[in-house]
Amino acid sequence: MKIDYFSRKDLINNPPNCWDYIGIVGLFALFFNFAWFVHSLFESVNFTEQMQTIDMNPMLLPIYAFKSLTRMLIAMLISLTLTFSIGTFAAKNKVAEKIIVPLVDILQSIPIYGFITAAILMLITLFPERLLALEIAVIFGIFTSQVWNILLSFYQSIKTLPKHYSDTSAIFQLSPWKRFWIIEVPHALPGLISNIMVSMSAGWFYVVVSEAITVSRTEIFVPGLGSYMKYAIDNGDIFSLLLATSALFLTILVYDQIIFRPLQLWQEKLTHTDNESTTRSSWFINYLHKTFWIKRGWPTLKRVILDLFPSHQPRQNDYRKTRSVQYERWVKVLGWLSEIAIMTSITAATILWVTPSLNIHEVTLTLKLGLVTSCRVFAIVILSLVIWVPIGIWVGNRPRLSELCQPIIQFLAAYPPNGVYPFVAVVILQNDLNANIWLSPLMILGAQWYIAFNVIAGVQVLPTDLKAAIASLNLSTFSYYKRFVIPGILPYITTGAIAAAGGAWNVCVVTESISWSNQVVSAEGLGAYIKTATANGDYEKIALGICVMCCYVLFYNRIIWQPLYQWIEDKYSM
Amino acid sequence: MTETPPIILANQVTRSFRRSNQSDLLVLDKVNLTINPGEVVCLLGKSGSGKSTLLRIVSGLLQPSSGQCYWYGKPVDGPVNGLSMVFQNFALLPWLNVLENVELGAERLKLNYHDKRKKALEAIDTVGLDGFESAYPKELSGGMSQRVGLARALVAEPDLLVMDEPFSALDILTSENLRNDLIDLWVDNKTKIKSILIVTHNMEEAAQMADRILIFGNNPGHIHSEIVVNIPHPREQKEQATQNLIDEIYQQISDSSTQSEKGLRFKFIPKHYRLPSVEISEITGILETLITPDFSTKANISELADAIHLEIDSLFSIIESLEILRLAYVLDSNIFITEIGKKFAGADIQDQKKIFTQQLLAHITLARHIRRVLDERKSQSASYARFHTELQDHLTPTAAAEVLKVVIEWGRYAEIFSYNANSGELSLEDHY
Repeated sequence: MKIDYFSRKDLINNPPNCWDYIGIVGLFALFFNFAWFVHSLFESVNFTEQMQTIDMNPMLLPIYAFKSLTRMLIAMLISLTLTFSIGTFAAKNKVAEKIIVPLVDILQSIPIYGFITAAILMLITLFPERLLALEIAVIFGIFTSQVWNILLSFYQSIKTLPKHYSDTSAIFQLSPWKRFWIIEVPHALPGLISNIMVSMSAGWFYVVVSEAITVSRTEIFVPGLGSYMKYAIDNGDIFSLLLATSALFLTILVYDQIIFRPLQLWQEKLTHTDNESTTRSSWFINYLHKTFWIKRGWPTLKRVILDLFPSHQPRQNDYRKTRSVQYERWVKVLGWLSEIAIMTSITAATILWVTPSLNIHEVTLTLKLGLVTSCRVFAIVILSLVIWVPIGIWVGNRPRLSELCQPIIQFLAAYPPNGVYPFVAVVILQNDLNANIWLSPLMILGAQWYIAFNVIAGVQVLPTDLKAAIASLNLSTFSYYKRFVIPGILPYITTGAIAAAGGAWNVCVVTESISWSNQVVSAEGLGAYIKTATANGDYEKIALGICVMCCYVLFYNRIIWQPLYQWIEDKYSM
Repeated sequence: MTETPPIILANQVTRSFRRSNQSDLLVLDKVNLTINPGEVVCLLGKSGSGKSTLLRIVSGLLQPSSGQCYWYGKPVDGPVNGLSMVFQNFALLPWLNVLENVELGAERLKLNYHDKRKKALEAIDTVGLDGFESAYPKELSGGMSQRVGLARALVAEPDLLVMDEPFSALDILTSENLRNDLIDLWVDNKTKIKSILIVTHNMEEAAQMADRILIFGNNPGHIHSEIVVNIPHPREQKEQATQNLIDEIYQQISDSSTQSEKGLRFKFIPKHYRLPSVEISEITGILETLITPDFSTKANISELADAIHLEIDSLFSIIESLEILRLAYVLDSNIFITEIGKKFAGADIQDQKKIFTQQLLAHITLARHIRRVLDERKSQSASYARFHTELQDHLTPTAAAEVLKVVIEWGRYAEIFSYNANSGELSLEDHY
């Protein structure tokens, strides 16, 4: 049995090989990039004078891409830290659970785009003339778009930790620290990975939105891939837009190959017992196997991390005293109270914030516009279903193809809708089309991918033996779909549709009113209302618009989506 | 010289689980258990009888509602060093390889990394898995996985090895093989284990391994009786002494779990009676076996179990269902088929249905009750929830659901009512 950890003799006898040097150079490059990024935070800048343009030299694109990716990764790190702390806390403490879960549930369903503007204003007053303010704002924007679904998925995984795992951990007296990293995190990993993938894609949209910010009627560009795109759009520069698009694609390809593909493969290796999955490989994993120092450094690092808190006494929570009836009743009441408190504080904040401008006419107008946008959202969800359910099933049934499609769909999902404005705007303006109808499809860009992701995943996890049994029945194509595939993946379709509706609400601010060079094409709707108010710096109208939107989204979630999901989950989940 | 205290002493241990809006459900009732150094103790009983609950209490995973458990005379207030557990489903972590899984067991010894690894390698060697250190659980067969589970328990150097149905997820040959290896380890004193506590529902297993067998009765869980075994290891199943032991175990279990006693053959069952979860085909199967020339209407339970290869769990459930349907009855560890049972066994499918319907309506109170409710209603239908709620006056929600599942299956077979799972409606007519 070879022991694959470092020992001193190993280190002396085996110098790093050439693969190690490549890796070490890569690590240093990463480190310097990060140091440089942090350094730039404290440079003093005058926002309104120095940052109204950015250098459009294509040679700078790799640097921009790196900057945007760094922001994204920082946001992801913060998200994970929050997930591991708050998510775990919610799963382990009944009182905390009753407060955190409803709060996160609400936070994840309200459109956050609107809040970024408010956050920026606050940060700029906090750190005047420092890039720090803008960077924090951008990272905050990305973070708020990423964190909630990751947090909820992790919380649910910990809650559903199989009993024999927790028993094992108790019997062998693992410290809480080790229990967390050896048992709980690996158990939660599959859900975590897929949610991180979706979040990273959704994050790019917010990179574009938040790297170019309007502050007191002037547009500020924080250097990055997103602002490069936005600048190209504002100036009608198709060539630069295409360049930026390819840079985006390459960036996504790189992190898919280095982060997601290896993680997925590792996970598949642990679960699949058949040989069908062994054909997949990752050049990055193969590369790691060729290294010497890096390969051995990893388990050593793991050991050091795991032994960080060796003296901790094991938690004896599982052996807690039986709680009294009163205690449990109290926790239940607390749950209700916290939900009521959250709702009231939101309402109170709304009223306080909006009151100065509160006039009935404006309120009815926003309510009416909200209804228009609702119709648009539902139409979009149905349209996406019609398009993507058949395609998703077709792709999902072909393992090689779906493997190939993964980075492409990630890219398409990440591709910000702003990138296609020019084409849509030109078509609408030239043919004098009705913006109310022809702008709607833009919303699909922010919505359809959730359905595509979910349908493909659903088809892939249909049990193989069931597929074989159905194939032996020689069903007609129609009954094959009606009786088998569609009911089989219905829970996935529903999940996708719910996420798609959320996505559509989120992007409506950006897609109901678009501009290309100096021309503006606008549709009727709540999104356009908020965007116009933002452009005019009319904060009361922004606040009113966002509040109305939150109300609509929460209303639909509670009245339609959650009951529907529950019903379908009960009836169709396998 | 003071006498050494027993490893485990459970004193009047009671455990109940809380139900919403109802009185608590009693699972364990005043159980006393002593485990002394140097013995293998088997807890034998049906699943759901509370023996796993007792095991969790003894291991310090669960606190008793009342009573106290002592570990070498000291009150247990959480998992103790010196006790290791082997799980029914192995409970290996799929993302750790064999060596890392085993090292997990050594965690509580607070060793440095090299000693931990050395110990783990030794334990792997002891269970005969050397060469598989870097394999992942999914690459291992069930038998090998349980060996890893055993190594993980051994590496922690326990005084007491607690095993929760350790062989029941394995096939017959594999479990036989693993049992023999475990006995060898035990007899040859290759480990530091002082005693072993095994929970099982397999009688042969208990007969093969135990120095002391505790028969567990249910509702609520209690220790029904104790058999002390004085047969030296290794025991051969064919030996007369072992055979006699198995017969005695059968006798004790049928005493603890069948309802008919001498002179009192059948008793009335209430509406909320916990119907055994038995399929129609099992009832038919056993009755048809009983009228074969091998048995001709009467059989010794242990011979019957041998002939049809059933675990006691399912065998006693089937016998219970035969008794409440009055198709057969048990007397002195013999099972006798009734006249109506004979008729049933000899009939064709349609006639079997008729007889079953008749017995169901006559003797299963719940089935009769459901039928009457449906008859009385104009719509001739009633919701599942109605009966589920009604049963919860006496049963936990889970138990009520289990009882309803059985009565629905029997009722559907007998065609006295039908059930639509989508609408949750029980009705007289089936709406497709």
